[in-house]
Amino acid sequence: MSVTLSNVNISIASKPIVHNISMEIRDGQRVGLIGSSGSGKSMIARAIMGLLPQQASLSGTISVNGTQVVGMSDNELANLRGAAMGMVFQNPATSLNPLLRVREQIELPLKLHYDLPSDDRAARVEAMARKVGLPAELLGRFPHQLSGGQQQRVGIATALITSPRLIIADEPTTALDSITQRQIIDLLVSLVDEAHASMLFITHDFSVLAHATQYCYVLGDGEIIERGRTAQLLDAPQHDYTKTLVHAAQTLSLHTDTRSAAHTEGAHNERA
Amino acid sequence: MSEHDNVILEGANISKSFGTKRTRQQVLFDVNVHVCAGECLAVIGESGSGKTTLTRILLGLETPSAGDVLFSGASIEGNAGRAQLKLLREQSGIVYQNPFESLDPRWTAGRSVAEPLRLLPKQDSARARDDEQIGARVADALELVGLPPAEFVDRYPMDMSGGQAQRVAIARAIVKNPRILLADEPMSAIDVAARVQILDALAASRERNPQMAIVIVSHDLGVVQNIADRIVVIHHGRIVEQGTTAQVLNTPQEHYTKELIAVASM
Repeated sequence: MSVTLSNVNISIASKPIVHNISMEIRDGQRVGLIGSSGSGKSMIARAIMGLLPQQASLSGTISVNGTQVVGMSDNELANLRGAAMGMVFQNPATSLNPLLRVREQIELPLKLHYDLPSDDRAARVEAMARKVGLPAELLGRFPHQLSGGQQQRVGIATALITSPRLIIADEPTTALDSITQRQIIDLLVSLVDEAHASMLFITHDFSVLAHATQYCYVLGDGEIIERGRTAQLLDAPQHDYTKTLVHAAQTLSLHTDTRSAAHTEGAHNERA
Repeated sequence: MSEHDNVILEGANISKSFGTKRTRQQVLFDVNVHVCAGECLAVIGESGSGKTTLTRILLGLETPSAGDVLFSGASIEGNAGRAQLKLLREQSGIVYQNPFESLDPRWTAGRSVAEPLRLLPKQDSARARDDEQIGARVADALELVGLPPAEFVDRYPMDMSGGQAQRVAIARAIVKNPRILLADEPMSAIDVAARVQILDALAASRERNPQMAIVIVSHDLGVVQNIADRIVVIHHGRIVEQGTTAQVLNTPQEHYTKELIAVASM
């Protein structure tokens, strides 16, 4: 599914948040959006999903598969979200409903958007749980009984259960430890690719983008200041702000003699 | 061992369980750990491994179910250790994960950083004598962590970025020149770009007070590599590996450590 943003402006309570943004997510492409906290990344995601806060005002064009989203009614937006878009949020502990068991949580989008017999729904939930690596015995648990990584797997299963054509992942690994972070990114990438869906991946960390995306946009002070293939931006950032982000990611990435050996072993274990 | 002459804080055979008899869950199993004056020790492990519980026990914020904590060679546990625990609290500073939760939102940066100085007992040599002296020490601490005092002393946390607020928290922790600084995941809630500034602030604090021991809790080996002298790896409540930073990162022995190293590369 393709999404095109043209000259999008968002302001909240007349304070400008993002200014004149143009972006494109092509069919089957994994695109990153990187910027510091407060740069407006999440607002762009929310605008695409039609989930901006009530006091926000939006102008410009957001076209999802050729359909203009800006100005749609709440019902039309809800139908579009259910059929075409899924979102994975930053903090699974707060994005999951604490009163729903895992099974009900994952089933909810199916219930809301499709008219399926309950057996069929149950079978789909179990198949999706297997896909995201959630053991069947966890389906009867509540979110607080799961680890952070398991909770985020539930978040991903809930976002993907309706087979959306666009996944928006808003800092989905920030609240997780480093091993779980990598597992969740690998899982998202493999599920998105397997479904030939598109993904918008939002983060502040270039080292995460390198694994998750092919193309990326850099957002600074509410404007797109640089864009390009992720590998290319990492190798030769042009804008000062992009250079700072790349430098930070490089400073904080590990440099050891065993790195390549350990990495190979890790990859081997994953395949096994 | 000669390095043990210099040990400032030591946890001996620490075990910890939570819950009632029926729901008892043991999170630490017979852990031995020490940190020397001037040394930076990194405690690494995944969420739920017990690393935060261990460091809370070391700073006397939690009581171990078994084992002993020694500060400057004397126990801080039980009634007999009360005076030593008080001393440990006076001579340690803590930086928490999320500065917006650890700083009082109604206090300016200047007031937050001054607070530890005002709380020191009257006889403490590090205690500032008057407001003027406190003001000078606060300005000095803010300057050290890279925040121009004129710009930040009257600012509230809500008017700062995460990286700036965390540097205020570091200034607050080091303003009284503590002998021990505990930083519990000080960068997890902070943007990657600002993490480098936090590292710089910690390095500047070390340079200023070379005898200060630092215990940093992290699951991020990239951060650890930049600051730690020694690493302790905790997995499921047990120390599975320890050594100098170069040893652990270049020749990891345990599968878990190797896995951590694999995911920390770009």
